[in-house]
Amino acid sequence: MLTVQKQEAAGKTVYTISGTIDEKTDLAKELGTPTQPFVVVAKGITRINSVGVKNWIRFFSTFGPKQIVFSFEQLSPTLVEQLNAIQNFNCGGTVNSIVMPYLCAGCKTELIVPIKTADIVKLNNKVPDVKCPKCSGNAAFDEFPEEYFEFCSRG
Amino acid sequence: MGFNLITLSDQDEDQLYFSEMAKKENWSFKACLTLGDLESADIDETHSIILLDADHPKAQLPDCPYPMSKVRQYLNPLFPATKVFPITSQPINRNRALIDEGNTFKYPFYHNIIRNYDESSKQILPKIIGCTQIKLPNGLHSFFNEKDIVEEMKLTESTQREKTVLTVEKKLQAIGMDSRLSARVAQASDELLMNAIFDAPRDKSGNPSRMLMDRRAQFKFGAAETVDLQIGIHDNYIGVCVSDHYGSINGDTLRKYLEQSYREDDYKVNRYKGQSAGLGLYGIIHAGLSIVLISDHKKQTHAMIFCPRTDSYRSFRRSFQFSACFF
Repeated sequence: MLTVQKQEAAGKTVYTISGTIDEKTDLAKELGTPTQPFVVVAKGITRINSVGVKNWIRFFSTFGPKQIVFSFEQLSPTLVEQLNAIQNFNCGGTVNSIVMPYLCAGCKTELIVPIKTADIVKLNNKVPDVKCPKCSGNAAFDEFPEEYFEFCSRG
Repeated sequence: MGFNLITLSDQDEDQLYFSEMAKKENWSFKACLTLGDLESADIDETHSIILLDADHPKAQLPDCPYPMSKVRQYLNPLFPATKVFPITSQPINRNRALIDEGNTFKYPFYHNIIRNYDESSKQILPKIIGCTQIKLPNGLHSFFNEKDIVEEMKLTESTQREKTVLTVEKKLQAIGMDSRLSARVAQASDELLMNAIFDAPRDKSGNPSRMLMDRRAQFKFGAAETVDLQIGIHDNYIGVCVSDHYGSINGDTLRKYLEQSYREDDYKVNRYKGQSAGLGLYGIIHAGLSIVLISDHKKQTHAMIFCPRTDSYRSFRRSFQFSACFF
């Protein structure tokens, strides 16, 4: 089930979405029909199935022809996977940031750390460990950078 | 009954891995470095399994020691394609040498092995190879040992799909799989269930009967239309099998969905008829899960996914991956 929180900030509508996206998700109903620039914050999306992907592309593809600018922030790992698998998954929207999955080697806590897309190149595929907030141990990036950040290398 | 594993590969790791497998399983083994070696090998269609390196940089050129087209010309008249396992280090649906030779091996995705030779692959690949000797493997039990847990769930109406998917996810979390991997397998299970409920059913004329239905539709299945889900848990890997009673998938269908690469071509929402997205199998392969499809024409399909029990998602991404089809 998808949950949506809507806020207005600096002339933009910000939608924070979380949960699952599937055949029951009606994005047009949940997000309405934005007529001004908008931002979708999506770090809480845990699953999206194939019909959900189709609905996502169908919905977000409507804004380009209407000249409505939109962007994505903090795309969750499951959405980053789609971004890498399907070249038009962003539907013309700008991906400003994603989240990176981490796993603590000690206590196995799963973490997410946001990163701006513009900063990904600076990493040069070397993602530093972070400190686990639970046990203070080392948490490592739980992906392969060259694969997880593949979408950045597209023209 | 034993096998004769034959590698046609100049890669040391292929020869080492399969020679060790043959030794452990008490099978025979032969390493061929060229097509000439293969031609002089003792091949028989009952016991021989050919493990073909599909990554040779010259695979599509005549001066390759085993050019794909010539391997095909040699094997096709005398050897069943179901006993050839191409090995690649690339994602299954990105190896051009295999895809371009599709007409050669009929279906490039009959069987494939990704060159990630981890411990869990040593447990399951012999079982996949073993299945080439029987007409059609019998569901998930063919890929697990007697002591392994295989639980079964029966769906009698469409509304049970969501709950079943959640049950799969919770079972995997309960055995210690991390949340992302559990969610990924649950997602793949959802795709297999949707295929079984909406894409597989055929009417008396053999035409799809539910393909155009809204995926939110709520209805009960007829007595002969139940969908079964099995979940198997081995010490090193897990498997999920979804079975329907139509046997409607075939190599052409599979090829259509797997051959497409949306990494290079835009996904078009109107490409597929009806409600289907056409992304289910593509997404399963892209995610790195292994898939086995068994179809007894007009009788039954078993669609299975396999996943190693790794300690992290990152490890999963470098663990075994294979596809196998039995039609």
